[in-house]
Amino acid sequence: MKIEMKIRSVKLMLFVFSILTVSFFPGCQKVINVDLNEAAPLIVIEGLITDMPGPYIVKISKSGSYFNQPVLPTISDAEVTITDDLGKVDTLKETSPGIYLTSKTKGFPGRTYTLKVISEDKEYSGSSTMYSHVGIDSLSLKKIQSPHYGFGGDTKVEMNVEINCFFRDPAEKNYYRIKVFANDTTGAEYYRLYDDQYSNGQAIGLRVERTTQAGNYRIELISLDKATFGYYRTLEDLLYTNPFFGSTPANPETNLNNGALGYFGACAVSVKSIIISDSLIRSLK
Amino acid sequence: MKSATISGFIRDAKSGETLTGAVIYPKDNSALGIASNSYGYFSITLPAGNYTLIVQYLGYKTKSVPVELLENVKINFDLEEESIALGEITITGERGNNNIVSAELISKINVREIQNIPVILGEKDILKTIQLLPGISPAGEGNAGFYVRGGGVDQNLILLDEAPVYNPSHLLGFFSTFNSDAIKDITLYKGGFPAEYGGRLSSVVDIKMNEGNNKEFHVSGGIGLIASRIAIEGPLFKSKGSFMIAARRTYADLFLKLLPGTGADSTASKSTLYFYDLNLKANYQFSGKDHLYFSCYLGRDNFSLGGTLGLNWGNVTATTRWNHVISEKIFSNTSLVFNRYSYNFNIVIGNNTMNILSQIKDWNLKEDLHYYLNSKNTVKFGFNSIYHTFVPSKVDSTAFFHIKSMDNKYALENALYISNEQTISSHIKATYGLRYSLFSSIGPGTVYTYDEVSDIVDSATYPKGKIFNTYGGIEPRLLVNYIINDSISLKASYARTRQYIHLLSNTTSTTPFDLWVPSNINILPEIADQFTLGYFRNISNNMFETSVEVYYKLLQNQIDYRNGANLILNSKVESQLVFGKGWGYGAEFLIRKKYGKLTGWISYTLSKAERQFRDINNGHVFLAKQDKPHNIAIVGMYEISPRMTLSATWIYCSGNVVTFPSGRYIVDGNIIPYYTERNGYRMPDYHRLDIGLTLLPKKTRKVEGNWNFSIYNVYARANAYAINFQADPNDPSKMQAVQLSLFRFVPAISYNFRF
Repeated sequence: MKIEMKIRSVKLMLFVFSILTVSFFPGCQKVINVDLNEAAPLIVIEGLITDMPGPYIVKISKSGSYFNQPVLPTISDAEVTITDDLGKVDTLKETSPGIYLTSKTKGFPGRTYTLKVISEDKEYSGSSTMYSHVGIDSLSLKKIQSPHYGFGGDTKVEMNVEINCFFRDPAEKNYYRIKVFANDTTGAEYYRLYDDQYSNGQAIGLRVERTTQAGNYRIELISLDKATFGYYRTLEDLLYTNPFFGSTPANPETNLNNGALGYFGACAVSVKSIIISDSLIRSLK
Repeated sequence: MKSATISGFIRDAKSGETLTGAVIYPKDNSALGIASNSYGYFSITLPAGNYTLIVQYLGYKTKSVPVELLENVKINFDLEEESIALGEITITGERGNNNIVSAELISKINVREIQNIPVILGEKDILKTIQLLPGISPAGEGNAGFYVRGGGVDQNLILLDEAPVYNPSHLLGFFSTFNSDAIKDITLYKGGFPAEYGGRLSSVVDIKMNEGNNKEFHVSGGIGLIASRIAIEGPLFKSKGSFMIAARRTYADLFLKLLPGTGADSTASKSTLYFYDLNLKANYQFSGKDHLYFSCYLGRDNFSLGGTLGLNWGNVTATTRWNHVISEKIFSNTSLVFNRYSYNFNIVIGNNTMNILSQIKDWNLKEDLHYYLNSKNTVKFGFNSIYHTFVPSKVDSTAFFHIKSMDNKYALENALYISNEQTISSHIKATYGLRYSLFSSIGPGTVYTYDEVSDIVDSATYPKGKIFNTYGGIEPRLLVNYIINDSISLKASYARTRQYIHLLSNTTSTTPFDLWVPSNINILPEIADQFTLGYFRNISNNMFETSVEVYYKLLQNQIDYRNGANLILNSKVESQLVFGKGWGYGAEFLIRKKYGKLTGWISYTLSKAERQFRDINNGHVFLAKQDKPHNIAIVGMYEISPRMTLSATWIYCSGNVVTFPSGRYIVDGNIIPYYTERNGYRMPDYHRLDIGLTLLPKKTRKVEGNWNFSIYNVYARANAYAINFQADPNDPSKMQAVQLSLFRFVPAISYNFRF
């Protein structure tokens, strides 16, 4: 079993370096007024189907003005259908404003699903193929030393509990997202994204979380298709831009057409939980 | 009518340093003038007779020498410096008009001007001073790169004693790698490139190091807030040679240790942040005809965080040069150059370490011949051959890390050139030439081709020594000077240039991770065509130089990046690139006063730079990130008394173009900004005033010292470095724009000495 380190640590390093440089040189930050050319509102479609039991959700809303619109409008009365590659069509029903639920669709690995939305006389669609279901073989816990860089303060070396997730990558090209739910909360979502570029077909162990908090941890290993992976990756780049080393921002690559924002993904999910006991946390000190 | 040739070297009388671009001409006939070449050598052929030769160089007393010319004669001219602070009013007739009569388009920077121009934290900086000239704009605060006439930072050929310096910046760009103590002069070309230069599209910055005083020993140096320098120079081999050593180091990290609350154990005290430069030059004159030079430069930046993360990077250059006077009319220079830029990234996790090395390394052999054919023609020809080795990433790690090394790449860049500087008539001079360049990759190597979604579709592997992916072509160069009279001329030029290696970087600041890559089937060579037309006029007997120059530049095969491109340590980096064309045009105005108690210049550039890429902005034309419509610099140095000089610079330029959001939406619970056009907005305009004061206390018998005080950004304007959009901390549903500025009101003090 091999433990992989992501190249993202390079980006993390650059981020730390930039924080260091900013705090070292006397600089300043202030809020300013910027006049933006507000674009006309666009439709935002967020659709995800999995191989877990349904129903699946498609959210439809509108984009708004950048500064002056705290509440973004949802779109009701849209015609939403999901068709699989066998020709089965499912018409989704709106159950709450902007939220549409499937009734007949069931996600299967290997199938291709197409989402179609008709709203305000325009038609939007996108397809996604569900990749193989990759099951989590096991989760394990490990106590590790983790340096905490406090600038100007002492380096604290903390003991943390590391959660590792083990699975076997299939032979084809695979893309993954890992979600970690601590005590059933859905906190701020880091995009833990991973692809098998360097480890195709091998047994993989990934560190998915590092924490000092006890509780029940539910780990989801989500097998994505290439387009959805690309969407999350470009979205992550957009959300976590570094002021010193950022590149020119751009909209995430979407698989939806006709100018729609958002994405439609079909993915296979495997779930496993592990408990970090209070006594384990106490033993860290 | 018999002619004879006067040839020899033009040098500084006190130190023996050769002077480049010093002009020698028979009195009252400046059109026949010849300028000394980069090695101080001149050769002028005149009909036999009696002449008074005038030898002139800015900053030195003009020399007037009667010569009876009957047959070929060798004369060396030693010029005496003018008084310390460029102050003395030089006799009217002795001021040069070389800028009017020469068939070249150059900007020369006098190193003494650099000594007086105030810069951030008191560190004199050549590259920052260049950015005060028209047509040149800084890439941004905290970025040592600069844009010349709308071109990218990698399109500037920066040479230190003929060796290219790939990353001329320290500390991510706040300082350049050039210690001005070690520098003799800088020649800058923005257009009308002579045929002997090639390989970059937008500019040539030719920097020459001091050779060292070949008559006496001197030690000089300075102690400043952020760095200290020392330089030693002196004669070798009983004045047949000389040497120069200059060193500089910053100690920014010592301040980290002085911060309150940091114990010996803290991250801060185990962190380092410093850079150093070392310049060395030695030369030896074998005979009247042969002169051997050796120069080298070594510099490094070192950053480490608490002993677990480390990053260091730097350049090494070494030039060995042999000047040989083949005959009084033919001068040869043969150079062997080595240069390398590398960075190391290392990380310690638990008991394991990983080190990543990335570098570009060149071996370069060049031969330049100057053939002073006759009084009307000077021919230059030669060749230049560079063997490049690219190491994109070499990974060394202990167990558990499986990031693989990437393959090295090898390439050969060759060029042949010939040019002639001809005096066609008393009113027309022209420099015309042809450069032919050729670039090939050499095996071992593998080239992949990618599809639209960055997957590999094909690959071709070549064994060691096999030549593949060859590109090349001619680069015509033409410059015509129509001399209206001694004070007015009109110069027009055309130059085609080709660039075969490219710097990939999609970040706002320069980072050591920026990667140089060779041309191949995925990355075609960049090509530029530039036309210029300028009107040059000297006023008040050459007291003032003024010029107006317009240019138009067409760029092909320009590089940009796919949305969300990931360049760092990416073995498939070529799949992240997109290609298109660009163009730029502008008008540059300059008034310059070079003599008197008050010297300086005012420059104004009005310009535009645009790009068009099929894959960006839906194929619509967009403003290049180098676009800066207005760029103003006012530089003044005033000698209040022989012991006090006041200097000030004021710069004003349009803000950088940026891409700002035009709306927002929610996906996955995140507020996401929505972008429409690329580079559709502009940051606020940038302006600041710097002032400096140099005081010379009474000179003791042995030591000359001066105190230098400077203030950067005197009125403390918060110039925008970056504007970020983030959620309002008081109300996360609201967004706000936050402006980050770096330097406001930074005073500095330094003491410089010489004995």
